[in-house]
Amino acid sequence: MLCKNNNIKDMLPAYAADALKEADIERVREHLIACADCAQEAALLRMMANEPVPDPGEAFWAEMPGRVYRAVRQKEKGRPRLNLHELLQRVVLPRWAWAAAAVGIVFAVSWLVMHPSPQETTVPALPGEEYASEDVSHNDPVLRHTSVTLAELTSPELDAVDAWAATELSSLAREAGANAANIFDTDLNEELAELDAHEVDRLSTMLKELDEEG
Amino acid sequence: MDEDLDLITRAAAGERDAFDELVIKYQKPLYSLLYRMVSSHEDAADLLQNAFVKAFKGLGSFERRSSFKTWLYQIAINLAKNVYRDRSRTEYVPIDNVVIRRNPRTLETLIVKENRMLLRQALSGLPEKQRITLLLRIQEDRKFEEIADIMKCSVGTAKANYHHAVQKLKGIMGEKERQQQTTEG
Repeated sequence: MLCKNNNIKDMLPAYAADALKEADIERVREHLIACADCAQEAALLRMMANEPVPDPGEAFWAEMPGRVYRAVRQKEKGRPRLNLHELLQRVVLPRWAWAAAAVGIVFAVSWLVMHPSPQETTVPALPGEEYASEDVSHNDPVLRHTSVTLAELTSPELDAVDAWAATELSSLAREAGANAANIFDTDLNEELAELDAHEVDRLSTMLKELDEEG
Repeated sequence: MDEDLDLITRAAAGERDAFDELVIKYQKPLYSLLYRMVSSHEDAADLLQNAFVKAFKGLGSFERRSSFKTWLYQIAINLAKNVYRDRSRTEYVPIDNVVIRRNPRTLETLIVKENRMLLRQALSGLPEKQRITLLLRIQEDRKFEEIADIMKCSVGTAKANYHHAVQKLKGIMGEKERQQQTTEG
């Protein structure tokens, strides 16, 4: 039968752990003689209280504060925080994106100069010796095989090339702009959180180098 | 008022002595609880270190609504829960193969060991909250108010969890006792 004496039951854990006052010990003992339910509970709690816990030894206890301290310090070193300046450089001035876009535009302009639109390819090829003296592609072995030069184009043809180039350049510019905008959409904290300590160090070094380069 | 307030403030400011004092103050009782939860020195030692590290790393965000001790125990118990869940797949070696082979002294010793192993198995079968509540109550005779703080529940829930845990264990151990008496009879 379950005992309802909560005063005694509240004392049983301390009784089982030998942490009860002498007067209370006597009260509990007297109750246990007459109450099988509490006696069983006391035996169970005593078994749990007496469950051996190994003593790791004095060296373990003495070393633990140092182990904890070193681990805390190591964690602090392992995850350096980017300062505001570096963060602004990373977000507001994505130089690599602008550099890539500039290279792309230069390449596109060069390509346009070397490769006219399909409309212009219908113009008959002219002998190489008739290239205009001001043609910058004269000494370029690749451009020697180009079928037309800008100097030979008529005014409407130049207008057509100009319009086509403007379209191509604007799409490239839009693409470069979108790439730059995406950087703002990226959850930077999430990205940085995925970096390990070495990657963060490398990123920090790269940013410093970029900063020094101007 | 948290009795550790001064130590916490100094430790948060990077004072090594305060830091060490907090570890020394709580490492033994916390290790004892962790060992009872995971039954392994290696795991308990790692958990002890990790709990302190996590607590110290979070000192800046510790709002001091509860005591440092309660907060530290919450952290340790949450870490231990994960280890315990991982280790819940632990296979118990049949008692006859272990006890008799390792310590074939007396029948009494065997019964004590068998009962302890049975108790561990019964404990591991309890719902997590009941098991941890029981361990907290047994260790250091914690009051239900403190257990409720650590377990983030009401005092009534803490009492109910303890009561259910004790009743289940009593049922299991009582059944075992009856079996032993039947065998001896």
